[in-house]
Amino acid sequence: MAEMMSTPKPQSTPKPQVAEREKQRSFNLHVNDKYYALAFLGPSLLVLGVFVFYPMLRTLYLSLFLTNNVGRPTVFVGLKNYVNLLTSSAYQASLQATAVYVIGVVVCTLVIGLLLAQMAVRKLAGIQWFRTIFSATMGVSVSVAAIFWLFIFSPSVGLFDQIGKLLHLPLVQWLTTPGPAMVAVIISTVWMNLGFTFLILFGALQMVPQPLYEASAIEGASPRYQFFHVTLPMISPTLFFTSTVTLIGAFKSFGLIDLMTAGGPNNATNLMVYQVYRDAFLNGNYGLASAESVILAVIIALFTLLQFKFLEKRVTY
Amino acid sequence: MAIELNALGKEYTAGNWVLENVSAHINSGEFFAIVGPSGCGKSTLLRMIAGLIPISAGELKIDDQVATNLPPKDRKLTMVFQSYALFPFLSVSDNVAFGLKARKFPAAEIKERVDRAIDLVNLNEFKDRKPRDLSGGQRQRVALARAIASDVKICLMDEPLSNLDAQLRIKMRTELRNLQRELGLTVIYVTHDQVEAMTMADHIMVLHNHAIQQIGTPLEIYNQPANTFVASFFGTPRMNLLPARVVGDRELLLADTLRLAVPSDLPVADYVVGLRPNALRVMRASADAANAQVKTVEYLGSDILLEAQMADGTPIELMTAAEESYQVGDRLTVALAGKAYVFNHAGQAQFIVEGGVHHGGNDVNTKAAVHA
Repeated sequence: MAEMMSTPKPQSTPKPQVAEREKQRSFNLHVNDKYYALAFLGPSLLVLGVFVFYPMLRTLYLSLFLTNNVGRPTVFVGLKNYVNLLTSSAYQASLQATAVYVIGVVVCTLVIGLLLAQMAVRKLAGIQWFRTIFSATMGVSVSVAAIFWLFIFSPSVGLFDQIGKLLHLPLVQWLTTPGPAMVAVIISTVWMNLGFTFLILFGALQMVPQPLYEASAIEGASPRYQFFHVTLPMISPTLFFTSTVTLIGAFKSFGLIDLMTAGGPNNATNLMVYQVYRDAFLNGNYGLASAESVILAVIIALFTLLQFKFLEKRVTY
Repeated sequence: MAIELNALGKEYTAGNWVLENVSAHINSGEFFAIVGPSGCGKSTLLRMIAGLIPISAGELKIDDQVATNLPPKDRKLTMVFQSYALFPFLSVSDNVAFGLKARKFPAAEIKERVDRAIDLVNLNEFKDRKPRDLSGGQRQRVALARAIASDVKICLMDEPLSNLDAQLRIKMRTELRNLQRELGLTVIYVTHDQVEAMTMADHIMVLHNHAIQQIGTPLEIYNQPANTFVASFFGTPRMNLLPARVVGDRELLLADTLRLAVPSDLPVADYVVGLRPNALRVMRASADAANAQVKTVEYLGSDILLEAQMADGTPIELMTAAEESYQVGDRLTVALAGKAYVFNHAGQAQFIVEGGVHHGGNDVNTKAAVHA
């Protein structure tokens, strides 16, 4: 016992040294950590810097200039590009078309995607086939989809007009009349989006624990009540995710528009991205196109922020 | 609110019965336990009663009304799930109110019932919390409160305590039982835990191999098991089942070692005799007098559980007071000091012999209780 009692004394003396050494080591670690961090971050920083951050800043910069036809800034015009854009009736029409398109695409994609997922989640014979078919558009390239839809919408011989003929409806010049053209590109985009949306929502529906449905059925909830008070709240985080992704995607749609209508007829489907493309690469007006890009980026950022602010609080549990 | 099961059956694919001919009468205000090993169909039976899966055969009556094909919401019952089935996005009080809101009760009544139910399970301080902020025991109480708030008198419970830790489970047993008595609930309680069933239930239904093995009070189940399955399923440590054959007049030889005098002539040659570990007396023995040898020793505190091998190689479990210490390889003399349950070859109970099996002579008084 006496021995044990006396031991702490000699042990306590080397303590400061130990502390010193610890400090030194932690400093070394600290320095090393920084190098390690840089080594790991370096490649992606480089790639992001070259392909994202620099182009972003360059776009901002260019948007304040007039440019020559190879994109070099010539005359500093300040915010004049922006003023010109926002007061131009053509650009306002493009904003309006984008709004219609985005709302149409997001709403239809989510509603139809949810409907398909809700159907596919039932345990029926052969449902596996439908699950594959519903998610198949994920594997279709934009150009193939565009050609496919061009056939369907083609005047008089297309599928839609054939059906119309059978029902003695007036023929619609789908892609050459402003209103129907917008409907046509919305339908095609929604169709393209459905595969992904379906798959994500289907996954979310499958994750809803079965006892929740059983408990609510016993407690007296009808299937309708269950859908609105069990299913929707349970998958709301996923719905939020898909709505955000679809919204951003819709703002950025280009391929289908370019291949199906090229912004026409009469600029009816001339979305913001398409306008950027036209001004930069067809008209060689890089300064104006840069300003349009900045406006588009700001709008997307704003919507995403709003979504996070108002929806996220309600959908997390 | 009595419940009557009339030859209920369930087949998922034609001819493949997972439950057959299940009949029982569950009295109003009774705590009725359905017990069996996993896969015996006990949860299936409960779900059939709840209406969550269709009944393939037979008739279900709830409160004298035929309920065989009623949808779950019209069966005037409620259910507590093993996973609790709480809505993660709703607060405690909204979870409890869920059913009342779905059934469109007036707001004032919902509030009153929810408050009363939450009060009954002592969750007043947690009303506004989400389930994720509650402990397992508290979630369990929310599930109970939801069942109570619905104000129906039949409550089905599917292993409600099996997600709780051991101590809490024992505490909740008493609480659940008290609550059931206080509210006059008819409870059908599914569990795989025989101790839970024994301690809580008024009546126990034992399910195995797609069919009822026995229905009875806990005492009946323990003291008069209908077959070898029930006998070995109830009681820890498990009952020993020894092969026995008739030797001489009114005498059985168990595991070629122990003799058991029986009160009447036996019609067939082979039997199975059940002996609970505490119904056997254990003595240390010299090599020539021994009839068993210790294989493993488990100290349980006040008792020792010995796993031994009879002279003919049959394994047997023995309980003895922890006063003496045993080692693996020790030689023992085992003698009967309690009830011997005699089953026929098919495992059906024949009669019970009170008294003793012993090594050697047959001079012990035997008293037989015949049943089944």
